[in-house]
Amino acid sequence: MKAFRHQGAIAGVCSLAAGVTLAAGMTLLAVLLVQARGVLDFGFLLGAPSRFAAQAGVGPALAGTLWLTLLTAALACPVGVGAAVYFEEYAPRTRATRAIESAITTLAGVPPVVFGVAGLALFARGLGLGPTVLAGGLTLAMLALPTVLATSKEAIRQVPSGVRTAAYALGATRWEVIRRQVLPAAAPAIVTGVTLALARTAGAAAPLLVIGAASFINYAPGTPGDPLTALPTQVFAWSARSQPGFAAVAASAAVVLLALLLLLHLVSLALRRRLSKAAR
Amino acid sequence: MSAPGSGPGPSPRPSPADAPRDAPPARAPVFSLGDLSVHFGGRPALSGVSLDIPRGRIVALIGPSGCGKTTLLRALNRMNELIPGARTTGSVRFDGAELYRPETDPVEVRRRVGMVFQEAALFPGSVFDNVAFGPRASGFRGDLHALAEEVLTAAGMWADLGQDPDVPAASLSAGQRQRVCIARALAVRPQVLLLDEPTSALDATATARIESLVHSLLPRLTVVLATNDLRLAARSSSVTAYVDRGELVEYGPTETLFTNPSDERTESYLTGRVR
Amino acid sequence: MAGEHPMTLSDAPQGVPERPPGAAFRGPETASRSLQERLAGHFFRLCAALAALAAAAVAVTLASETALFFAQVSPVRFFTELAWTPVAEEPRFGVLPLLAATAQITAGAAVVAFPLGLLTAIYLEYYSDPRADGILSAALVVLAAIPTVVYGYVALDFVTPALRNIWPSIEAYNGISACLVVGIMILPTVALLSRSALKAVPPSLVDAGLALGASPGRILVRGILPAASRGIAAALALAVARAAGETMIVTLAAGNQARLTWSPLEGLRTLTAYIAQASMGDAPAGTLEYRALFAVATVLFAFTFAVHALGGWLAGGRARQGSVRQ
Repeated sequence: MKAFRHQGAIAGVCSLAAGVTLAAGMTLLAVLLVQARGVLDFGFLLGAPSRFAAQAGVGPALAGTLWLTLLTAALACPVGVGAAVYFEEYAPRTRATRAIESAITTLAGVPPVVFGVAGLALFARGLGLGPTVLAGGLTLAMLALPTVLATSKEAIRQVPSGVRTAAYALGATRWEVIRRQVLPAAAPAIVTGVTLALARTAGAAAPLLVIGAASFINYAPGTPGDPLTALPTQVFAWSARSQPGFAAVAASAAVVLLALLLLLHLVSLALRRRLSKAAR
Repeated sequence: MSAPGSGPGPSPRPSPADAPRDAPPARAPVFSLGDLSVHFGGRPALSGVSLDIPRGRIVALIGPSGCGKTTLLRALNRMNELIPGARTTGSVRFDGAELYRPETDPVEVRRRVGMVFQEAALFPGSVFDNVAFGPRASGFRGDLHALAEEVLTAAGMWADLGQDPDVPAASLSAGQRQRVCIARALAVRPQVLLLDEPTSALDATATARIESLVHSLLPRLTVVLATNDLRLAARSSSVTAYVDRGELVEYGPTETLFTNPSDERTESYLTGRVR
Repeated sequence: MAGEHPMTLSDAPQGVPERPPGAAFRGPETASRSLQERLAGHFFRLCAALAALAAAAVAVTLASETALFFAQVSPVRFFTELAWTPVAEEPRFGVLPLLAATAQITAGAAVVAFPLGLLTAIYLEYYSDPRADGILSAALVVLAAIPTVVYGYVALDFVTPALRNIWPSIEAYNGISACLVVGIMILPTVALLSRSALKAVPPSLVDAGLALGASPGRILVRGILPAASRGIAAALALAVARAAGETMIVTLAAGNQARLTWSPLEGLRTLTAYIAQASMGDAPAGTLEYRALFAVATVLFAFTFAVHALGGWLAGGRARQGSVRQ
């Protein structure tokens, strides 16, 4: 509904605001790309951090973020989607289950840094994992879980109830209704939610800083027990350095991080296309 | 007949008729309802209904919107318990066996008592996917394509589809969708078909096709038809029940009920008078 | 009556095991089916239990460490003292400087994001052509997807130097740069959610206004905005919660000095920046300094929870029908 196009002062003010918003976004990206120019190359992608800006690379941090994202996905997706199925398709509609549901989804709005504090106490200290990739993955999985749960619940709710009713009336069991109708129909929206959650955790620096991500790991983590390093914390570490040259390195690492997120979104888009084609 | 067997609770008085036995005589009713009541969250939707549904006929359930027709229909294949807060008391015997016993598997009940709804909620995918869903869920091991052809032919859809069941279900007209729903229900090989307002979203031509399709299913199947369409009920059914405010007001041969109702509530409903 | 079967359905069903009438409604495949059924049920219940456990673990950890903190530091001192120096020889734990900094940054960000976001939403919904809509919406989605540490880098490395051209006396770490960039960071939240709120306003309202000859400005101010006010308020609440919980921008741009100041050109330290900087993974467990982290995290948790609850209450009222299940 574009009811009042090109009319008067309000249109002008609104267009101006929209222009400023657009300009802010463009500036942000332009600053990164201009700064990263000249640094970003193949050696930077594979190289290790260094005291000298000219030799610094994001190899270990990139590997760390890939590890963390994999761990987060492996932990948060089954639990989050499974819990969503439980709350939507199994749980009795009692006050108690509703309270539990809303308590979990409330955590979706809690700042990531708070999960860092909890992860520090639970995993790094409580389980004695220390600042490792595994402790980071568990912390990020806790951060992703409420989002995965909330979006999956919403996706399952969007499946028309007529489909469920018809499937039950044809003599399907609950598991068959879920497996053959509800989950396939909800899958594209679930993938969207999972992508959102994973993108959020892949870019999260604060919780990893709190549990002790290091910025000078010069080898790529090979197992979840290796010391924690990740792209966002590397961007932070380099941004905070005042020596000349590191600004460009930080910008380059940020560009790598953004490219990784873009890749994640593209994979998700392709997956959604396939899933919704299958469901049509 | 009015054994107070209740929904999921333990049945106090299992009757000898619950035991497996030989095929019942053809004249025996398919369903015997005894003092059947359904509550949703404490609110009564159906109270104290007792009636027998004869085999191989079309039985019509008529009554104003919200009178409990649908609840009564859904009580016959235990669909009410899918609604949170539903509670069923009384007895429903199907071929002499009590439906509302704790050891009764509602899934198996629904395979024998099929149901078609007002809105033709087809599954995403092709017509074949829709027809194959029920048999697959009930462990069908035979030739699914032959079964699909058979039930789609029975539902008068095989020609409409150009003999190709892989047509996307979403591309069909409303009447065709409803016939696919009937074919889908037939594919599970039910003994009874419950139809809940199957034609209320259809035009006269599509309604006529559904009507003749339903007639072609007799007498192998028993059909229970809940409808607001009095003319449809009068034309097609042999027995009619008038339900009002959750109570069974009158039940008898369709002709008698429509021409000479014994209850004045039935009469005012049929004549459209406001009480 | 049941003698002949004049229908097309074949009498001997192929593949479907014959079911004796009147049997106790047990399918022939009941055993394996009920095993699958039970396994699926257990799996989903386990998932829900794990999710609940994770949530409970977060809450219990925060609560217990915070309780230990308050056993040593009285809540009155915590909320009234004006200095936060946890590692000083004589440590002082007055959360007010941190709280004030968080409030200042959040308010500053709101000043940037609220008008800009709301006007952008109005532009998108009522003035833009499809092409502009596409570009601008995409830009907002991209802005929303950028990790905050990247915003933080831009704040420190681009915005602060740019501001130095205006105020040469600006400190390397300062509040105003953080405000501006946090504002840009929450801008997509404000714009996209406000637009959803505007979308929910029935078009008939606009048509009726136009039919009555009212000016667009009048329709907007008297009709649309009041109708969408709850949704917009919910959007703003969500944005405020995000701003208050934002960590990396303020850590990088606003610095790490806990102080009470009104100057936007000076550095300050928010609740979140303290948590991120103080820990770095090596605050020794069991010390007061370690527990202070949890106390601050709890304050942050409580604040964002309250704001979210407010937003949820404002956005509420969209009751849903109970879903069908067994």
